[in-house]
Amino acid sequence: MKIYLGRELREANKNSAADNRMMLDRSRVLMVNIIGSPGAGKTALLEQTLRHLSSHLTIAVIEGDLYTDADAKRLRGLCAKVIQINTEGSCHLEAGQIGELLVKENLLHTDIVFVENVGNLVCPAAFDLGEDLRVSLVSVTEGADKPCKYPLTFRDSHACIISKTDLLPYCDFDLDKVTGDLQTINSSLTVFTLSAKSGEGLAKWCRWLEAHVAKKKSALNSGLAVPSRE
Amino acid sequence: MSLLKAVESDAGQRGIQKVTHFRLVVGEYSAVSIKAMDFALQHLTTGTILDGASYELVTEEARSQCQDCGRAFRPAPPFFLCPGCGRGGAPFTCGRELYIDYYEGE
Repeated sequence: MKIYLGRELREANKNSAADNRMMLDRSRVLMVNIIGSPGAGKTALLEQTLRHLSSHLTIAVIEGDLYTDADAKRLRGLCAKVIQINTEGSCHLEAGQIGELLVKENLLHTDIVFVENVGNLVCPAAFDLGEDLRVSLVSVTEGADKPCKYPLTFRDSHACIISKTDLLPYCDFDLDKVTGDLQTINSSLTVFTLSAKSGEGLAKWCRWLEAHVAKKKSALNSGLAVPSRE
Repeated sequence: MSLLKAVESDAGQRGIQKVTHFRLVVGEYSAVSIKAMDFALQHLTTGTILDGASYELVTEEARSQCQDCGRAFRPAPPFFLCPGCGRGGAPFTCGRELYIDYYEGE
C-alpha cells in the first residue's frame, strides 16, 4: 500500500510561529529576532539598545545559547525581564520554545520582546519564530564575505546591522562592498552601521525600533502585515 | 523525529504494521544536509515502524518567479538574481521545504 502524505516535517514549528504571531498581534507586542554569528556583537547591541529604550519602553529579552547564562547575566537589570534558554546542543531556537515563554513569563504585557538567537548564520534562518522583525548582524571583524557566504539569512531579514564599526580602521573590511552586496541580496533590507562600543549609529537604530513599536501599537485589529518568508 | 511521528501516526490510523519504503524530499535551500539526514535515518529508525525500510532522499531544486518580468528560473546563490532582467528579491516558489512525500507499508 502506497500512502501519499506530503507532510512538511517542520509543520509543528510553522504552526507554533503562526500562534506566536497571532498572540503578539493581539497584544500589540513587537518581537524582534536577532541573528548573527557567535561574537558578532548581538549581546553588546542589546546592552546598549536597552540602555536607550528601557526608560520609556517595557522590554523583555529571551536569550538563546547552547550552554551558560552568561548573556542573560549581562542584560539583567537593564530591562523588565531576561530569560535564558539553553538549547544544550541545538543550533537554533524554535517557535514552540518562544510561545511557551510568551505565555508563562507574561511577556505579552511588554512593548518589545527581543529574541537573541543562538550564534549561527545558517539554521536560525530556517526557523520562523513568529517575529515581526528579523534583524541580522555582520561585524566588521568577521570579514566582508559573510553576506555572500550566508545569503539566506540576509535575504530573509528586515534589517541588517553592520556592527563594531569602531574597528573599521583596523580591519580590511570594504564597507561599500558589503552594503552593496546586502542590497543586491535583499533590496528591501534596512542597513545600519553601528558601534555598540562608541555609540555611533545607535540612535538611528533605536529610532527605527521605536517607529516599529508605535506602528504595532497603532495597528487596528490584529494582524499587522508580515512580509512573506516563503 | 518529526518524520517518525508523522509516519507512525498515519500508519497507526490505517492499521499498517510495518513501513517498507518511504520518500523524503529535501529542498535545495532547506538548510538540511542530505548526508546528515541519511546518517540520521540509518540510526534513528532502529526499533521504530521505519526500521529496515528502504528510502529515497531526493533533493528538490529551488525555483523562483521574478516579480518584475515574470520569468520563472532556478535561483543561484549568492544573489538569486533573475537571469532575464537582473533584478533580485524574487521569492522562492519551492526549494525550502522538507517533507515526506509518500511511504509504502503492509
